[in-house]
Amino acid sequence: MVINQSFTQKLIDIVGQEFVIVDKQDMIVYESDGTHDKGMPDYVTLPGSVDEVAKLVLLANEFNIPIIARGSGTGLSGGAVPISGGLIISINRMNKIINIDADNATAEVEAGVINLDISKRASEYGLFYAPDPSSQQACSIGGNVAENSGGPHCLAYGVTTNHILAIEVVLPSGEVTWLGDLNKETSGIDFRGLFIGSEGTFGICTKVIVKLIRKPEKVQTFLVAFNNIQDAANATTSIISSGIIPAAIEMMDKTASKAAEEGTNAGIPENSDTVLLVEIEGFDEEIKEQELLIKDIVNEFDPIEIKIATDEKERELFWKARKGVLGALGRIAPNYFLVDGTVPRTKLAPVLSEVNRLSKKYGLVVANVLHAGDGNLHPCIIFDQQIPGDTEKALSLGGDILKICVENGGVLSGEHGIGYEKKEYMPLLFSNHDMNHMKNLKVIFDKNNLFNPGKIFPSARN
Amino acid sequence: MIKITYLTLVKFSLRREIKLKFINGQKILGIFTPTNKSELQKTVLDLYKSGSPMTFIGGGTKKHFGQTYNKNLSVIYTNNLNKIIDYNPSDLTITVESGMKVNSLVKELEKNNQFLGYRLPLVEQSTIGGSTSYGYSGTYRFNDIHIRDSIIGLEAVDYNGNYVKSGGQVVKNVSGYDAHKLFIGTSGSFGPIYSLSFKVYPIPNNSIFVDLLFDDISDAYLLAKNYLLYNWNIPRLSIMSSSSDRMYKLTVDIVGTNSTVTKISNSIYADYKKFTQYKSELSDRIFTDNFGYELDKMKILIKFTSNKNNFFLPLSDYLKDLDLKYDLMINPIYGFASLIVDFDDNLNKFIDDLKLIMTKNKINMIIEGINLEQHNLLINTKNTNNNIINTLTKSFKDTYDNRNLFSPGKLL
Repeated sequence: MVINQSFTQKLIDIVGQEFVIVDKQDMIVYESDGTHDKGMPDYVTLPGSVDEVAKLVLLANEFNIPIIARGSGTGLSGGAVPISGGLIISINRMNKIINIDADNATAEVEAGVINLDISKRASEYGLFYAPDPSSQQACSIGGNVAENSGGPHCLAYGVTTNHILAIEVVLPSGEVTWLGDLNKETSGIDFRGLFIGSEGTFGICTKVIVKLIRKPEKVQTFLVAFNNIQDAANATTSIISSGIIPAAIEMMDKTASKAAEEGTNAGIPENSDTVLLVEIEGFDEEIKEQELLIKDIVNEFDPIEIKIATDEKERELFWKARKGVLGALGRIAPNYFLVDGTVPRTKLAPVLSEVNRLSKKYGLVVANVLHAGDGNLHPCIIFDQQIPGDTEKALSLGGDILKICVENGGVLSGEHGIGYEKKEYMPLLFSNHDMNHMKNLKVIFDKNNLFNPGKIFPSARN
Repeated sequence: MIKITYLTLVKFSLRREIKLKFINGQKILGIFTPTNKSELQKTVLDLYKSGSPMTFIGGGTKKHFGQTYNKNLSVIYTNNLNKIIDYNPSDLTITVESGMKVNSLVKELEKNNQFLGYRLPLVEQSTIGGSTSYGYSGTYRFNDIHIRDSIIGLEAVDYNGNYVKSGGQVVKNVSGYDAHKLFIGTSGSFGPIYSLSFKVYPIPNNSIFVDLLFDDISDAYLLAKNYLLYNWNIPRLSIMSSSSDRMYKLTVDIVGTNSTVTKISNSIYADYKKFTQYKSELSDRIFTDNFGYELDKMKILIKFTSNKNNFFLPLSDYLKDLDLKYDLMINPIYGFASLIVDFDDNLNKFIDDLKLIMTKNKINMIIEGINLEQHNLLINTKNTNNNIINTLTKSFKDTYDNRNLFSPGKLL
């Protein structure tokens, strides 16, 4: 797109010179997110208020320029990538925690607030914000709303939509409104629920009112090493079936846990094939009872070792190994493609076997990292994009893994969203009627298709 | 009279309901009881094509609520769509047809020591599809679970008679829009639900009840306030009051391991001793949550919702000296209260006064009951001043039901 000087000047008039970027070099950081998809924006703006966002939206409407909302750019589906150019509205400057209402356990925050910062502030009142994506030190709550983000502790607590009472949004018309009415009891259409997870295609979220949770009295974290991935998967199913709802059950296969150990020295046994990280929360006495039960269950699957974090430092080390595993995989090859399918958790073992078979077929290493308790797989396909054909092979393998997930009663994405990356796979899961039904929602909110065009729906539909 | 060509396929099997000639003054044109997916599809398509307004009834527990509409209706009963479609207890998910009675679903889950996480009212009569359409989760919610959060997938019929699917049978899913939210709490305004998938939970190992009496509601609230955020261990905490005794009963359900329920109940009793001379004991009451669900014609139900857990104090204060028969149930954890009052000559003035107090305190108020229109009592203070929301709602209705034939008059 040719830069429109008149449009640029109007952007400057709205947000100020220093918050408008049109220089290609300066915009490189905005051309991608955490995926391999790329697209150069035509303009980047960093508004400081909802009024500025609304004015930007009206202006973009006037000039018929696509709008791509962007949080911290940590997304893993190409959702914030400006595939066809357009105006990026970055919400990073809107980063104030407006209010913590400790009595009613809610927080009102601007959309650019970093996820972890909410819990840090809420901890002064013995509270925290539950959804914890692995990128929680960097990702924004507005981005979490757009993607309906999850995280390891969503096993017990649920995902973003379960923790949002209301959102202030700028609609494609430029109108500003709250969706949801702060009350837990609602009536009428759940616009809040529809908007969450709409991947920036319905408008821009500018403020959020989140629910906060009372911090547990005690947390206990287990690191259990198994001889094979099937035992770990079956132990996961047995723990869940026993009636315990752990706060998290995470799994790393041999490749992933080896890389994690090399990166962190967390104490993962050298001879382990697969590692489970199990975390339980509650009252002191409750933890003691559940600890015994979990030991009994995992012992049925002949574990190599059961380690229990003896203090907060060791617990953090266990989690550092899990949350830092993607970075640690860089030791094996420079690039990875992270898949995000979800299957019924009883299908974990057969699906992982299939992933292993496909890995051999394609000749690419796959490191499996899973939110096992939720049945959410993250097979991480490791490759080197400098090797001709490797990128295409990795993408093809990823597609085949998603097909296996769907064939086993699963879905295309558990927590990263469809975005640009997975949109061509939507027909695997949804009929034309289903997609038309969804597309009707898009048209109601955004009849001119200006908000994040080219996402979610397969190309022919756009 | 509308000609309906599909009558040969549908069954008129519900003798009790055949007697029902009117709903809120609307004449019933035809009653349809599809028994499978394709019959439901065909029924909806034929009725829509013929231009017949239609309403969907599960257990019939809510058919008298909502606004009236001055056109004749066809009624589609869903209670013959009552099968389990898929249930693997180890996955903690279940998929059922929408006409399944809540009690049947509850019993099926209980065989595997599981439950929905919340307990719905009138389980014997109501269906899971009807409860979804109404969007109410009851007063007992393990880990603050709302029905809108527990539904992970749904299939419904659109105005073209096509099945539309949203979500799935997995507990974590961001594949496409959460289009199923459209059908939750919207009273069938976008078409009938065929099937629903739920995330379910293990029933907690231990469960005890504590009932405490107070003569001052402020004391009850002060005690309750300490326990409002025990999401995993206190799924229900209600304050009940009635004009007949002017006492306040705080009822607390405690769940968890044996040691946990003991610890919490001991803590509550220790706190209780600070407040009052009344003596209470552990209760062995059977849980029921039918408050406000079996209204006769001489009573109305007023619901209050708020984002503040002490919202009910001005309401209670106002009721204290009033010469009116009422029953009140307050749920501070979930920010809502239900008030049942008798029709009497002073009701309109009472409602007007109440509206003023609620508006001043930013508390939403909705009235439900029979014959509301005759008493000029159709009130819903929520969202009515938000033109953007009203316009969006209208756009949704126009898009998904452009002839306004699905549950007309319920949403707009």
